[in-house]
Amino acid sequence: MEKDFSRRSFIKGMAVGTMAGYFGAAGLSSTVFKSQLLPKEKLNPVDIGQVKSLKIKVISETSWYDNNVFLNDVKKAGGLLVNQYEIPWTREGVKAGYLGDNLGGFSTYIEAELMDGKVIKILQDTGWNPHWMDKRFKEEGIAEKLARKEIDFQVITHEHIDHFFGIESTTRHYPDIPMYVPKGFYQDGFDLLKGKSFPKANVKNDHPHKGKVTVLDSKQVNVLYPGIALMTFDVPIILRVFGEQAFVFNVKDKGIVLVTGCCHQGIISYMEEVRKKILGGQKIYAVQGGLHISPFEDWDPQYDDLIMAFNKYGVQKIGCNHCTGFITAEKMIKAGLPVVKGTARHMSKRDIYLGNGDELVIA
Amino acid sequence: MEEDVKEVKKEKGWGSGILVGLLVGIVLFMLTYQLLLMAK
Repeated sequence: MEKDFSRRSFIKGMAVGTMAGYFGAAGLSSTVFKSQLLPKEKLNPVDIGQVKSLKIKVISETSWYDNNVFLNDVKKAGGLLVNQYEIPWTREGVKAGYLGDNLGGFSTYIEAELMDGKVIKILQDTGWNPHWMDKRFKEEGIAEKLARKEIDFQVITHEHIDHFFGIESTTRHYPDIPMYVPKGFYQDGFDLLKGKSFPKANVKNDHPHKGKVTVLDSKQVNVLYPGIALMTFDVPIILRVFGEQAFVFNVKDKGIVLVTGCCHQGIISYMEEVRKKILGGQKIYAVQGGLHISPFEDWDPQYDDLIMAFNKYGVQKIGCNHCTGFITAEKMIKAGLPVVKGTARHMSKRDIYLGNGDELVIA
Repeated sequence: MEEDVKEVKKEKGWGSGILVGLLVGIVLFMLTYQLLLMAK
């Protein structure tokens, strides 16, 4: 028997067997036995509590009126990485603009009813063009609420032009409003808050902010009231901005409601972070605000994957607008996602998603 | 004829080689996996 045995054949067989065994084991462990072998995800979710109900009103979702004019301003200044405080933004002669001004702005008003019945009133962002924002604040009763100091605090989601440069529309009524900004705010932003002008960018603040400014970082979930939290994301953004924060509400009997400014952190990353860090984060009931997918109405095939991924989370209401893009909304609706329709009023161009003056109620 | 028989006999050993190789391969993979986990 031993005489028939070939050492060379045995070694050849062993070489083939080793390769097959190694890659076979790798293949099986990453597929069939994946769940048994991979280390379990360590989750330590934060219980943020609950609110009874939520009302989200779009004050303005129109950041600017003419995309081409906006992009031309950026191009002439040197591109998307140029400091936003040094770009001469077009403020007159724009046919589609508000009184010829291309600037609009983003702002949302939120009322969250706590479990004890107390209603917390929040102003998210303050827009860009003070004339436009003053008009919208007046039309929606925000100016009066600010003047009566009824609004509990303001959250600046990020430092971008259209969310922050219209700060005087808020501070002219309520200069000491408590304010939350994300970590990464530049000194220019704090200077604008304090009343500095930036003539090159056509931005000023004649009503310096005198209240408390709290800078929130990304190390923890920042619970402001039971059921109301802010999450900060360390994300670099175009036009030399860094950091964005977004709301997480936990509405009783409904689930988690996410309210964003522009969502530069990415909607999937945002939902994943919520799933990992917030108790109940597996059930995201609604998403509201800008989703930053096709703000300039361009389309990339990878966005189709994003919509497919979004579809898996089972979100029941999508109150998107602003930088989400009309093409994205169309594709979402086609994919069966529950996009909430708007009314196309107050210079919002289409009713495909929530526009200026529209409201999303979660109760 | 005798030469031919000799040639066939020389090919013996493949089967046991593959069996031993498979085991070695699996053990090697497990070691790499553990090392990677430890490095993490």
